[in-house]
Amino acid sequence: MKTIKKIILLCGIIVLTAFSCEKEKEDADDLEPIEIKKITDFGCDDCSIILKPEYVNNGYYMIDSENDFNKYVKYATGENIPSIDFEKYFLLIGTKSIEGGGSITDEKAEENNIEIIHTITITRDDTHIAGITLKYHAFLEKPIKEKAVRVEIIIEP
Amino acid sequence: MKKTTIIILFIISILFVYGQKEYYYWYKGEKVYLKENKDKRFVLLKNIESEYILSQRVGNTWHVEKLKKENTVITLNAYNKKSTQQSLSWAILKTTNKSDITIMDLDEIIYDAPFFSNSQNQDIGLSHLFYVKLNKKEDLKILDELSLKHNVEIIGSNKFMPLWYTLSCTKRSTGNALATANLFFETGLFSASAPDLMVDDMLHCVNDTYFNNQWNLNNTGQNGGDPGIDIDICDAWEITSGSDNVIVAVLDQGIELNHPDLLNMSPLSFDTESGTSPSVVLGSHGTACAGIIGASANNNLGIAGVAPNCQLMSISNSLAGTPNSRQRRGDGINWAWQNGADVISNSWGSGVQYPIIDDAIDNALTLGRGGLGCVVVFSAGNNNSAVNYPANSNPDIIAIGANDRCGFRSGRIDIIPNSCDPWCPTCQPGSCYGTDLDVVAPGTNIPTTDRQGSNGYDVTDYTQTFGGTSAAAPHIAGIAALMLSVNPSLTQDEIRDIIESTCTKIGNYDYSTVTGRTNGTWDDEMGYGLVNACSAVFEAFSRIMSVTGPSVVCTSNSTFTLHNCPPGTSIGWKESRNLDYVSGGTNNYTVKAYSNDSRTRGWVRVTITSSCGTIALQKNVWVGRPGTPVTTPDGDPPMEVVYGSSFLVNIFNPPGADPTTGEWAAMGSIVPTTGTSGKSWCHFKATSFGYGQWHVYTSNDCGNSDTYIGSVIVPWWKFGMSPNPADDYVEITAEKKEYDTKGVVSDNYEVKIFNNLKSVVYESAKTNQTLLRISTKQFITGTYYIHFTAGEQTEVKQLIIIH
Repeated sequence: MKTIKKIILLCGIIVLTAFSCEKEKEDADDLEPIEIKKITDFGCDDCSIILKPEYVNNGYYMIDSENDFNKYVKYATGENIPSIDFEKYFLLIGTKSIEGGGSITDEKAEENNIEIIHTITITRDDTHIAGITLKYHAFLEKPIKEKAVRVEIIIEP
Repeated sequence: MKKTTIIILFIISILFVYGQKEYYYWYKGEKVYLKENKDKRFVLLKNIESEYILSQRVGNTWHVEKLKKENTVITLNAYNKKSTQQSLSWAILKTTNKSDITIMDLDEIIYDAPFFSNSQNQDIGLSHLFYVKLNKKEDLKILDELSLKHNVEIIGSNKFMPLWYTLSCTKRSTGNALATANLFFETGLFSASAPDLMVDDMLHCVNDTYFNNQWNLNNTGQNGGDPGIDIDICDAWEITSGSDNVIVAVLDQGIELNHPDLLNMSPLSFDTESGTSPSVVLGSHGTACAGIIGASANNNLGIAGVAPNCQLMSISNSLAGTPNSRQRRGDGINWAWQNGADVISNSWGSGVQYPIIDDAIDNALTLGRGGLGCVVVFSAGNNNSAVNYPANSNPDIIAIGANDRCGFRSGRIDIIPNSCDPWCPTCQPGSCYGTDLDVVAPGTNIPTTDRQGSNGYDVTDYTQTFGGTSAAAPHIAGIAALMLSVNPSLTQDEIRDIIESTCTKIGNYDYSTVTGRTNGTWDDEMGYGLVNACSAVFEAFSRIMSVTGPSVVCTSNSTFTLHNCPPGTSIGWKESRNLDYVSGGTNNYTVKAYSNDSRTRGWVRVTITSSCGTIALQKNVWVGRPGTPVTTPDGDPPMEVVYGSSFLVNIFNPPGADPTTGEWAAMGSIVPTTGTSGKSWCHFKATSFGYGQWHVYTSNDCGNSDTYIGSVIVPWWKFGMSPNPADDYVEITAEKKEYDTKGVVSDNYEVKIFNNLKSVVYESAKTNQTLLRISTKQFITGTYYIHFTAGEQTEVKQLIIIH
């Protein structure tokens, strides 16, 4: 009897797992654009934010609380520091160093039911600067359901 | 026991107080206290005029913050004509090892003193000078005695307040200028005595906020750099910080036109993408390049550009690989030179060559600046390979590589292992090098202007880390602009030659003579070396300096004048031995000849010395009355001329006289035919046979020359005949004169015999026979006339025939 129970449970798990995988695979194809907000969209036209120097590492941070914001981020410019509703928004902030010159020429955010992708497009230019570190940030609305978040960087020649 | 302890502590505290040196100077009878600052020292130098050489001498512990050459007696009535204090250099040295003063033992350092700070914590330097005011002029003797005793030199008295004397200390003096000034005052023998204290304003060349970070302009060893590895701008600025008439175009991503530290923007700008004005900002790179060239200086803000008083012209282009971008860059170059740009700065490259860009560059180089040519500078590139296009496309372009603050080629640490300031690990590998590289300039961690707010590389209005050959190229654009500010008539290739030939050979690179590289030794990685603004600007200036004055000096006074002398220089005049000094100032110098009979060449020379270089200008003169004229007729000098003909004599460059002062005369068989006075030439005519003599002399303000005497002969054939009377024949002898005839005398003669009825009874052919036998058998007895003719010479002799 115990063995039958175990078999039924195992089958159940297999069926559930298979069903679950099939469902995820279906949803992953439907990426929809989502709105990106900048720090200036929170009522401070002259505000700019950067990672504190000790956290600049050619990567990015996802910040979803005021505590973390205060820990990792500083205001580079701005007189009237805005209030950010971290119940509603989370922040993606990072840097990308490249050889030579270039700039961020496109930035977009998309989501489906399992992940949020923030895509940064950097286009190289013909300047003879040795290298630069590009800074980016985006405030995105927190999803109702927990989702994976990643930043994708495309460097165009 | 307790009592003993208190006494010991009291003694220790007394010793401590007295052990501390007390620094002060006297002002209106009161002591003003100073605090010693052991970070810096003022040194007086002999035989060192280069910051770089001084850095090498003082070693690693000390670095040179400033070096300057100065004449200390310019405004003084010189007390001692042989003063050793003239034309010395002084420097300010800085150290982190406050206890190391061993370098002061160097022979080249003839005086040193510590720095101080005042109650406001300002740096105060102490020079070698101090000032003493006598109670009355007779006290000079006391001053003299005291100076001798303490080994100080009296340099001179103040021209406007003669009771004030300037004195100078050396290492041999009893103390430095502060101690000695106090010592003199405290004798009570003088009305005042004050050391020469120098306050902050003279110790830094500009007051811009980040100037101390600008190692590229003034490398004092910041962040581990080697002092002196910079473009030597402070001394160059003493000559010029630029002219508003000079325009530097920056073809880049556009300059932020309202940047608070870019105040000298040209009202003309152009956006190549839209083909319209004004320019726009398409990236951060243009604003960064522009700051290096022309950020405002001495405005208590940000950084200083190389040529802060020149105009910046913004030409915007995306510098991206977009359609038609290259043609638009060509448009930018053409628009720049057609709209008055003198220099075009380019900190970009292109992976593909473009004939459109080549043609535009060629136009700027040849047609820009009214045909003098725009200076076109291009960065060499950062991919650690051969110089990129377009820097390599035209030898007239100045192709610029980058160096770090220690004098190494700029690059990542894996490429340039010895670099003290490498490019970042994610940066491009290294400054390009090779055959097409011309010069290098600072290109690592260069402070410059940045787009305002968070738009640029940094979130402030400045970035401290701009690097690459992008940063190097604008330095040369700025230097070229400074050169054109002092000498706008230079052509683009003259500017390039000067920049290349005045480079500093930095680093341990193998500079050598290379075929095709005519402006000095050259190295594969550094080109001609690190550009030197000071030397380049001084050289540009030197080409407009001149000395004018008379070309003849007599025993009366002659004054020579120096024109276009750059500021901040010391000037020394000298004259040749056949001249006597009368008086001299900075720009004028008066001499006279010892004798008007000197009659030799002489010269007056002025040597102009600045921190940036030395140049000697010489005016050659003739001293005294003229030398004997040197005369040569057209062609070789004739010794013979044909009777009746004319000949010309010229004076060629008579020493010490204008040839048109020639006074001519003739005697004997020649006469002057075109006047005798006030000409460099004279025609003479041979009017009779025989010798003729002519002479000429010239004159100048000092008198007449000796007379040159020349002579000619107007030659003839010597005819003879015999017998006379004759019977059957007569023999004619014809002897041509023995002088060298040079072909001007007829080589042949002819003979005609006339009877007394003037009829020709005999006529010979032209001949040069020395003996001519003529039969006279047919002639009836009577009188005949023989005509000898040679050229224009005719001679007649009578012949008697008797049968």
